[in-house]
Amino acid sequence: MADKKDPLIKKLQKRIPLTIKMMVIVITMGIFLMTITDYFQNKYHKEIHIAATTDIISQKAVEQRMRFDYYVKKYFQSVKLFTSQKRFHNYIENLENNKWSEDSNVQVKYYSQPPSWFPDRSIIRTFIPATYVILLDGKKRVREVFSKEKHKLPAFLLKPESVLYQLSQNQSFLTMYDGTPYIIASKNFIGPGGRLRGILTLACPIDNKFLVHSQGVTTSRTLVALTTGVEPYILVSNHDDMLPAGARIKDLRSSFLIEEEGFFDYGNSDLLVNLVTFSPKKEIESQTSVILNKERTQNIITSLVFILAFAMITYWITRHIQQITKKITVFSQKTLGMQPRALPRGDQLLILEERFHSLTEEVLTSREIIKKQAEEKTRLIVDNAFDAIITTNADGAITTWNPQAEVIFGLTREQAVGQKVVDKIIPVKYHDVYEKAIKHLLASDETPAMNKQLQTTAVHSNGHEFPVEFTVSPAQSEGSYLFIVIMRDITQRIKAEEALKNAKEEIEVWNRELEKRVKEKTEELKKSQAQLIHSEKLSAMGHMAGGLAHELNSPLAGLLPMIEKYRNEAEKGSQAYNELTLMLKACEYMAKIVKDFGSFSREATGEFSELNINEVIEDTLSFSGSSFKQKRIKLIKEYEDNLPDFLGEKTELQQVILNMITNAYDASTIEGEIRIRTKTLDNRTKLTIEFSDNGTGIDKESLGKIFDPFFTTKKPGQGTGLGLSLSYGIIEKHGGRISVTSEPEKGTVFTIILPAAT
Amino acid sequence: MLKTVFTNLSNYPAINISNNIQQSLGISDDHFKNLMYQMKIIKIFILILFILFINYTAADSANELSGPGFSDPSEQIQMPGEWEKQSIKHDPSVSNIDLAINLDQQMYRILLPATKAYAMKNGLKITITDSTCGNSAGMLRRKMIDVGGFCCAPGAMDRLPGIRFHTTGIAPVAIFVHPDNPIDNITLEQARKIFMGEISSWSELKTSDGKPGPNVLIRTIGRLHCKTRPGHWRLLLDNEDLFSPRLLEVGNIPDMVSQVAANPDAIGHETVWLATKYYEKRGRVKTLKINGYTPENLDALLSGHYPIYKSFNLTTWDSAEAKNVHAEKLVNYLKNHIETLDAGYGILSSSKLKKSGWKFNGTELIAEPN
Repeated sequence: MADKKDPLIKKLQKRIPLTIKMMVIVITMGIFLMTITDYFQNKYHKEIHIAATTDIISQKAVEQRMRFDYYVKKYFQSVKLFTSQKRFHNYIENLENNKWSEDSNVQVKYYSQPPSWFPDRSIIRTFIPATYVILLDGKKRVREVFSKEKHKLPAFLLKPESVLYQLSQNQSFLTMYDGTPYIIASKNFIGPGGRLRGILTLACPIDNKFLVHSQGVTTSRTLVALTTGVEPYILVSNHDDMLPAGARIKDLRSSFLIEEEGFFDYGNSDLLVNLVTFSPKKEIESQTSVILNKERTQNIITSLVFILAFAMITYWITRHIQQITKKITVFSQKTLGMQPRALPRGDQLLILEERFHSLTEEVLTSREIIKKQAEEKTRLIVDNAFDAIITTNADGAITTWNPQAEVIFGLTREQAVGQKVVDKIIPVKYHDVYEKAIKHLLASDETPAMNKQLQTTAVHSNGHEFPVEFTVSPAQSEGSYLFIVIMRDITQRIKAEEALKNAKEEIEVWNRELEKRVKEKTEELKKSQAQLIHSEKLSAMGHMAGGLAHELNSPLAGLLPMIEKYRNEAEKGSQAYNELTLMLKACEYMAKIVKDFGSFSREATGEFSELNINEVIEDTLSFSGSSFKQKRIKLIKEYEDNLPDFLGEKTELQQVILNMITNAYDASTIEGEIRIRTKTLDNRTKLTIEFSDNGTGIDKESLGKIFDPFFTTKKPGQGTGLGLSLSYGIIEKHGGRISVTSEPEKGTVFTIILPAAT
Repeated sequence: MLKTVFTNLSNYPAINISNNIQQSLGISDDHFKNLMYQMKIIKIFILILFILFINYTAADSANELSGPGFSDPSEQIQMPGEWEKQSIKHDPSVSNIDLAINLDQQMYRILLPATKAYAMKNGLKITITDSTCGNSAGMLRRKMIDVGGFCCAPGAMDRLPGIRFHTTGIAPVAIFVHPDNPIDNITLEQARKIFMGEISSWSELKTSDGKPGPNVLIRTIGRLHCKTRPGHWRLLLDNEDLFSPRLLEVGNIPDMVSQVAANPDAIGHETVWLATKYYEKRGRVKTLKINGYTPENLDALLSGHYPIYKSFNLTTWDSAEAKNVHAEKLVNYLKNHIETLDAGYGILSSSKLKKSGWKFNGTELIAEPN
């Protein structure tokens, strides 16, 4: 509607400051309202004032009538008082004594000054000014009249009807003669014997003067009138000019407020009279006008004060409006980033309104920008998400379908949006579960699946089911549900997990193997350490045995030929011969020990040559094999063919092999079995020779000391305990190892490992 | 009571003293006892005579205070022969009317609706004015009206030649006070003393539970209308000279009601209906029981137990010059209408009065039952 306005008017409206506009409006409205309210105020105030005045007049009328009543009553009281005076009694008695009632020629005596029987002026002053004071004799004839008035006594009083004195007897009587109302009060004077001696009558025309006197001295102007007639008219008033006699009451109502205040039962009255109070409407209106003018003046002053106050308030408001406008401008510039604007001058409210409109537009623009930015960000997030982001409405129709969803499910956005999610991505077997979950959610605002990361299977557009991980978050938008589904294809992950699981299992196997090997190596290391220790022992023993053999060899070399010579010199069978034989055997045994000592301590002096182990074994067996026949021991040879050669000193190795075979032989029982096996190890980098028997075996305690020098399980004299120690040292010297496993009563296995020649 | 008197006499010191006299005169005991017995009889007789005298004088005094209830119907004002020949001349301001009626202010308020209804029903043009008994008397005397209404029994000055009074009923005159006044019941004698000024404080009277009334001066309010007519307030006190000089005279009934209603210490008198119903807007007043009878109890009035009342009368002309047939019919209609009035108006109709033995002279009530 504002747009339809003339631009010039609009411009003008805007240019005029608000304060001036408001002032103009307030003054115009004030004048308009004052005119209307003044009209109604005047009307109501007049009514109220007239009503109040009527009440006052009503009260006034009561007072005026009471004054009139008392004034009228005073006539009767006066006549009673006058007749009760002693001077009056004396006067009448005196006249009676002169038989005045019997006079036939009656002459009325007039007094212009108070007669002697009249009360003193000081007493009269309290009572009423009677126009006529009439004294009648016992025959009710007027004899004396006291009157200030010049005119004569009216005829009806001069020759009264007897009823007049009866009606006015002991009371004030109102009556009318010749159109003039009179008040008459009479009192009989009864003498001794009950005879009427005279009558004193007070009479007064009820005229203007009477009414004036009846109201006495009052503080306010009094307008009263006596009215009479069925259609009342003024009989007499106290203000002839305003209320002339004969004026009809109904004609006076337009000019006066009239209060007809009942009537006193005036002792007696044959007049239908009312005492009426009048109040000129002009006076009331004049009073009303004075009041209204004062009120109007007050109203104008009040209005001016209000206008001034309103102007100040308007100014104060416009200042605040200006400040708000400035704040809006600053907000627009700083917060919304709008171009700075200069504030125009004029109607602050319109400027604010305009500024507010532009601010609204600016805010909307900013909001749109922010919204677009947010949407763009959201779109980027959704489009670039690694997961499928799908939104559906409460009916399950797809509303959002991001590129990853297209990839995962093989459906384009156009194909998916608007379709039921249950039909597109949920396998048929889960349809019931889905429907129940949705119903439960809509009924109770919650479902177990909400806001949790779950796994299930989804269905690809090609019908292939694949594992997915998803979350469903419900949201409410514009009063309806929105479901945000974030879904991830976890096929690869599950595969990786399975591979990892397998790898893990392999690692565990490997670990176990490693542990086993470590254990074995550790055992080997322990053994090597033991062998090293043993070698060190052997070395020390070797040095010591070498020295010992050298020191013993010389005496024994001299001793043995001498014993043999002496024995040969002794007769065979003689004691000397036997004893010398024993001595010779003992020395030979000793020479053998010395010899072993020598072998034990002797350093390898021979050169190493490439040898075939199978050949070395066979060479050794060739000069010791006959002894197996004694115990019918079965020798089993299991030689691997084409064994690689190894570097070694043949004689030393033969000694080792011989020791092995000898020990096996010694341990074997009759018809035992000795097995010699050769083979390669570690890709033919090593050679191994096993000597096993099924003999008595070695207990566990002895097994640990088996390679120690001088340790033997044989009977004393059958072994020196140096064979295995010697063998141990030889094999070690060849870079090999020798080990033994044995189980009592089951047999013993000696294994020798030698490095193959490279 | 006699026993008490005898006891008092026997205990009288003079008798004991007389024992000394007997001894000094030498009279025998029997003779002396006989003599003393005769003296006792004489004393009791004198005492009874004294009591009777006191009661008689008191009753006589009360009767003197009360004015006449009715005037002698034989008394009639003498009017000139010319007057008697005059016909009725209505007020010149109204013309061509069938009836001119002037009613006193009480009759006017009771009978105006019925009169208007009668006029309408019978197609009569009736002028009815509202004034006083005195006005009715004066207008009758001037032969201006066909029917005059009086709230009082007619006085001698009202009995014009050729005029007939029709008593329509009587109504109790209530003595009433301010509603807050705790006094409920007074005797007729107390009422008279109050208005005479002999009882000047309410504390001289007792409330219904025997407690004295409030210690405030009694303000007597009087409306001494119709002084020359019998009945009404004159049944309380005969004339205005009997009333207290402190009596506040009011000019009309509304003033009487408003004065009493406005002053807790005031007491006034008026007919029940006007005081308690018609002018209720002027203020509320409370009627007092007199000798235990409420003024609202019309049976008490009918039986003569309630002592103050006024007589309502209408007049018609019997003289040929002034007679108006419409007037006769209207008066009969209004009398019948009063028979049907609700008891709330407080009027005992003439038929009820007749049935209860009240004395009538033709249509005019002239005396209470014997």
